[in-house]
Amino acid sequence: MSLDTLSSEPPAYNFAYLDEQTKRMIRRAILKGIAIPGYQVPFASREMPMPYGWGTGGMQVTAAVIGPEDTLKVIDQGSDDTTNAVAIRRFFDRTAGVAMTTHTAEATVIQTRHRIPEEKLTDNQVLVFQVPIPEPLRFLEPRETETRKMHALSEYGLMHVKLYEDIARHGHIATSYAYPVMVEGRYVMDPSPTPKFDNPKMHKMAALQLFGAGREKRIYALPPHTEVVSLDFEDHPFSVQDWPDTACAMCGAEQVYFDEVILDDKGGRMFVCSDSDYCEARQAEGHFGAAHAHHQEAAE
Amino acid sequence: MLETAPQPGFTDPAIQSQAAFRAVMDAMARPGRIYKAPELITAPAPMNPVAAMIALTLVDFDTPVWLDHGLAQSEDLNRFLAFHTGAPVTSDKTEAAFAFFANPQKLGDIANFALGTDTYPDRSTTLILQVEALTNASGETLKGPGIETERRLGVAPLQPDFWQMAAANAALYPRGIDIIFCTATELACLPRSTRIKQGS
Repeated sequence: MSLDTLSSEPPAYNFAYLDEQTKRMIRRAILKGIAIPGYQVPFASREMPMPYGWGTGGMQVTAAVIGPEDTLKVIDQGSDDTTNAVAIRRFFDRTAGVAMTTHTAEATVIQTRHRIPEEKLTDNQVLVFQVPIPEPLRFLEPRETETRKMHALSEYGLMHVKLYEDIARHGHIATSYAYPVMVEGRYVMDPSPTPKFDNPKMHKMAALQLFGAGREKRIYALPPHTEVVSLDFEDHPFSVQDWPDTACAMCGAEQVYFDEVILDDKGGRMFVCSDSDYCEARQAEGHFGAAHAHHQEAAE
Repeated sequence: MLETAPQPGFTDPAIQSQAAFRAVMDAMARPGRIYKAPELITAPAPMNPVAAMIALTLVDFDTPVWLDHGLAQSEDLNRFLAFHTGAPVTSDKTEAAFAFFANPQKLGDIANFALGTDTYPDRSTTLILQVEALTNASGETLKGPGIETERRLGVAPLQPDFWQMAAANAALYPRGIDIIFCTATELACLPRSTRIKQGS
């Protein structure tokens, strides 16, 4: 064998990249996280072959959970074909060789950056979130020693003050993503920077939800059917984003989370589903929106 | 010098330990639901094949292990665990990350194990109890995270006051220990978050 053939061989990684001791350490943290829903378990996060901020926490959790029988889906802001999703999918294709899909229903493990699929998840699926800042109190209290004490005492008054100040300043709770939730009446948890639109999907979800923060070295979890309540006030109840009289320009869907697409420099714009698989599935079923009709007219 | 080589562990560690972990994770996420163990590891008596699978999947040099009298007595088992996991064996219950019981009728007070602290509730012991039988048809009624409405779990044999101790453990939440029951082929979990309604 020549040096050329040797160096052109793909590197021989362990299955799913991480070594077995690292996986055991992450697996133990995942089990603790499941046993204490919403509590952030410290773990010895490893360096991954991509920078912090690109989903290294989610990747480590996925690597510890995934097996050859699994089918993986990776989404970035709801889409299967944006940079982060493509890069992470390629990583697991190379290091684990598992089956890949873009279809939500076919996936057994879904790694996500900041969205929950529109399609309802099931009991045999695991949803892995990439989390940048796991500590919901961090911007209110920078000291870890203090936030840890606040969680220990279930002392979350400060968070309510923050939401109240939102109301005092803007007339409503202006937090629109990473909207804090209360888990089983015990821990306030950061749902990762998902839009608050997705918060209700977390409540009593049939799938297991795992959260990995690589730089901050924390893992937390929501077992299936866990009570997840968005914080609010009696006179300012929690509500999700709403686009009245708006339908997806591609598939005509309503009541989904939209991306706004700027079309020209004259104020032209359209709204499309943020969940690309959901949108494509609807189009395949024959649902079309305004932009599609426009295309057809142009073709005629 | 070793008189006999320890019995083999996983033949394909990365793949088999993943399957094993997945069963434990699914079971911990759905308290009381009974899962078939995907791998069975033949360990020296009195450790059963599912407990051995869990040991080889989760235990290593970072996790002090406590063994009950029957397990601790077996030199072969001590050698087996040392060879495959490298875990230090401790007699200090509060130091143990995992505690294995071959005889679930002699647990003593489970509150003597590490219960975690208010600030670090994760620093607690996980108990692995070898039992004869698991059933969802009768037994205690469980509620809480991971259970849609309620789920029944019957475990035999157990120390007579086990479920009182388990209820007291749940009352410590978020502190407390987590428990994995294993028969020779199956497993089920009872994390601290599960609330126990005692009944027939």
